[in-house]
Amino acid sequence: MKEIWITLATVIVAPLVGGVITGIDRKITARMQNRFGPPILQPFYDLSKLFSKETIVVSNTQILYAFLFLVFNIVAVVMFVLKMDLLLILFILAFATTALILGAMATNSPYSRIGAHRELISVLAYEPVLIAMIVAIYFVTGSFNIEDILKHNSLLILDLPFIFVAFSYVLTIKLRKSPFDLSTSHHGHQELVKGITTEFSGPVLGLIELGHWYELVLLLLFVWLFFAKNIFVAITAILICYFLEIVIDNISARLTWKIMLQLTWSVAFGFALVNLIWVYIKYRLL
Amino acid sequence: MVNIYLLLIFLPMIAALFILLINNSNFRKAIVFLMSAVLISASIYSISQGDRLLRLSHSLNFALEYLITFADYFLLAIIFLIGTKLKNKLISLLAILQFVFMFVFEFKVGKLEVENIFFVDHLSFIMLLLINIIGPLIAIFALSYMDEHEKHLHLEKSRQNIFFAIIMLFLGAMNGLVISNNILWVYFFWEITTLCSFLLISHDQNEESIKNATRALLLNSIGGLSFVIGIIFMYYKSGTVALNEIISSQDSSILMIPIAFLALAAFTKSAQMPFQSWLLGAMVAPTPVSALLHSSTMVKAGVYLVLRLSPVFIDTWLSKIVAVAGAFTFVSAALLAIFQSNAKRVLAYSTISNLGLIIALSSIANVYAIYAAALLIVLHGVSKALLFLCVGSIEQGIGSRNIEDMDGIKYKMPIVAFLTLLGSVSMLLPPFGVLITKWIAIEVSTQNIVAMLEIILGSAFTVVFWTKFIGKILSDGKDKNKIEKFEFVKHIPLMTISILVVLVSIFLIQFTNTFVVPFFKSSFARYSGVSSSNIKELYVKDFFGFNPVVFFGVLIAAVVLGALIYRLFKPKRYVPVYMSCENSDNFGFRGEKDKVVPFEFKNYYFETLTNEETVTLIVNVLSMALIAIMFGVILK
Repeated sequence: MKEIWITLATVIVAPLVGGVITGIDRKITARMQNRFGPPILQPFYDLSKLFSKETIVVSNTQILYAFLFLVFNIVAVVMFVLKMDLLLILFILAFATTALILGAMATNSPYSRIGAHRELISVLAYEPVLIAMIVAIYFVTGSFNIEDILKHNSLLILDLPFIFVAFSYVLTIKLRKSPFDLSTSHHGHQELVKGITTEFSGPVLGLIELGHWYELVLLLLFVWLFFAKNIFVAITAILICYFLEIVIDNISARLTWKIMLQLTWSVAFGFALVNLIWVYIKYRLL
Repeated sequence: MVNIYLLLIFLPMIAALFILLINNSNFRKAIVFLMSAVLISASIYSISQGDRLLRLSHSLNFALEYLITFADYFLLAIIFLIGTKLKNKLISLLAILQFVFMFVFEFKVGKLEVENIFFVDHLSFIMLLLINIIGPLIAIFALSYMDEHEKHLHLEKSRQNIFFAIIMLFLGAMNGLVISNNILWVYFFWEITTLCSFLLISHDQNEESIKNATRALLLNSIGGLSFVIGIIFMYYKSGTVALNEIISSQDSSILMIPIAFLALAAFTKSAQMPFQSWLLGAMVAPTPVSALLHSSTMVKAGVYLVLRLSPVFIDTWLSKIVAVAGAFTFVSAALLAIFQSNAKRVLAYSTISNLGLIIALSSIANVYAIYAAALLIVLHGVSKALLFLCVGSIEQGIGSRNIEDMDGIKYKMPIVAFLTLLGSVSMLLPPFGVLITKWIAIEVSTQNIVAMLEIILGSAFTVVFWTKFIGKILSDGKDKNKIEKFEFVKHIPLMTISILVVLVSIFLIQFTNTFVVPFFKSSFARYSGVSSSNIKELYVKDFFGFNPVVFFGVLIAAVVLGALIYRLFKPKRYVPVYMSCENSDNFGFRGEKDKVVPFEFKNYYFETLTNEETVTLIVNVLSMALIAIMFGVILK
């Protein structure tokens, strides 16, 4: 019974949090660009506007994929809050992205297809880092279950500093912030129009937008996991982390997919690997 | 009682003889249908008999021993002759070496008595089900496929009698391989499958098919030689050639040398790196051959052997290296699949990749690893049979096996496109079982950090190449004319296999409890180390506290329902794709003077980054190094 209430609360609260964070993001970004920026609740106005529009599609399957994207993201967040298996949560998150990619590939639009392929390359770049992160957490805590991971008696960040660095790096890709906003972007995106979401519009785009909010909450929950022992430290860490993402977003130019792949695999995965090996030796061999 | 097992082996062989001699289309079809019914019911009947060790009457045993011994030498002689005919000295040399080793061994040791001829346990059941249900379905599909195939080739005289005879022989040999207790018999059936695969790959008798068949024969002959050496060492180390005694031997550390040789043989048969090239070359054969080699027979013989011997070497240094080698094949084949635009090559690399995962799982000392290995044999077998037959049908329909030519296949061939979609989704996405085995693989491989890293990278690559494949099958195409006609003999086997794909995933937990857990209990029971991790009961209610089918089933149902309701309540308008409003349809835009310029978008194959040859070279060198390490570890 308790689980049902938690699930319901999560489903309702998560998009509110996600929306507000997006609003703050837009405000800060605007200030950094010497603009005044929209009100903080603007994302909610945008979303309600999207849902009030006429449904225009190129092909029917797009609606299904948008739904899948949303539902997989919701499920991933709920599973996190219910303290289930981390690896499984990661798989679900990957399927959300797969659904979006397939949705973009279902039409014959070159823009959305190139966006889809760039998204696929992003998956190739960040997925190993994310799995490595979860395995490293397993080595430290002896479990894949969030329930047991939370019982660990110190901050995870103390054992996994490099993993955290790698995760923050990957976060930039996951949040589609510059320099890794290849597949679609919040800013002007001339060469690909709107990339992976080009062919989505109106309420269907609304579903995807909503899905992104859930995704954002989940990613910030991952940050929280590193500091879970102390809630104040955790909130501070999340705020700093997200602020840094905004700064990076505004000071860097978009890179090509090739450079992204090379950088992520060498820098981020390299960092994760070093940390992984030392926690393996520390907790498994010694 | 014992007759049912003899029937499973020898009846298909007798049927093969009839098919070969009487080259009549209707007769052949009748025999194939009849044999399918017999094989399916016989395998189910034999399973209902339960685990058993069977001995034959003395005279029959004696006769069979001699028959198989002589047939074995005869087989090697044939391979030698094929080698000379192909002017490939290496094949002839390998055949001679196997012949000499075998002869000297049997001459010196004298008569090798194995009391129990058949060793039938739940692993054999799993294999029997796979061979005798998927095999005949592929054979039935081949009936219509080969007619069409020969129409394209304009043969004067049909060669289908040879084709179906070999397929029947193949199925009989596979049955023999998985129920024989005498490892010499296993070797004999192993060699038959080698010969059959050579004959099937070279079936079209053109230059390319003969070349690729020669390569298959050569690489599998290396495996054959390794098998013989393994048997000889096995006898001198353990004093027995009976599988049931080998896997229950108490002092397994002395058996590492023979196990390493047998593992090498399994690597060649299962097309592990660096032996992968024969399986890639095998796709020149007619599609049912690929489907057969990739799903239920041939490659599964190798993983069967590793899983069968797993209780002997699990939790040793050798098993750690084998796990690393298997996982290495998993990651490198998945990487190579990303570069492929040829649908059959994508599927072939995916097969190699999954076989690597099965081998890795078979050698990780954890109860769930063994479960996942056994499950993946079945799940992969069923899905891959479906996928190969579908791609074969598409190839006959549109005249190409290139993924880039499959635009709009959902309009042209709706049934096959849907089944291809089902097959590829079952290899990647929930609620299907392959995903669950991947999940288990990552969770259990934490005890072997190198294998774990390989599996992590491999699963990322797997997502990429399958998503590309699935995206293309669903994509829009200009040509929307339906070219598919419903054909009973062609579509019914396809649909049956696709139903099996769904059923295996739905009843995954029941299947595990009925077949995999008893196998684990009987083979691994004495290894407390394998099942130590807080498992009170071996039977599974769910995987890691999670019933995948219920969960994902509800999830998918909710999504589909949601989308349907959404469609009903929201009227929608269709528009062409966005091309700066300079287009009237989805396939071109108005250029200069309103001339329509068509556009197309191809999948990324990363040619600018690297290419298949470079990667193949690197992974071949690395995998050879791994095999050297494997042998280095066991040398005392």
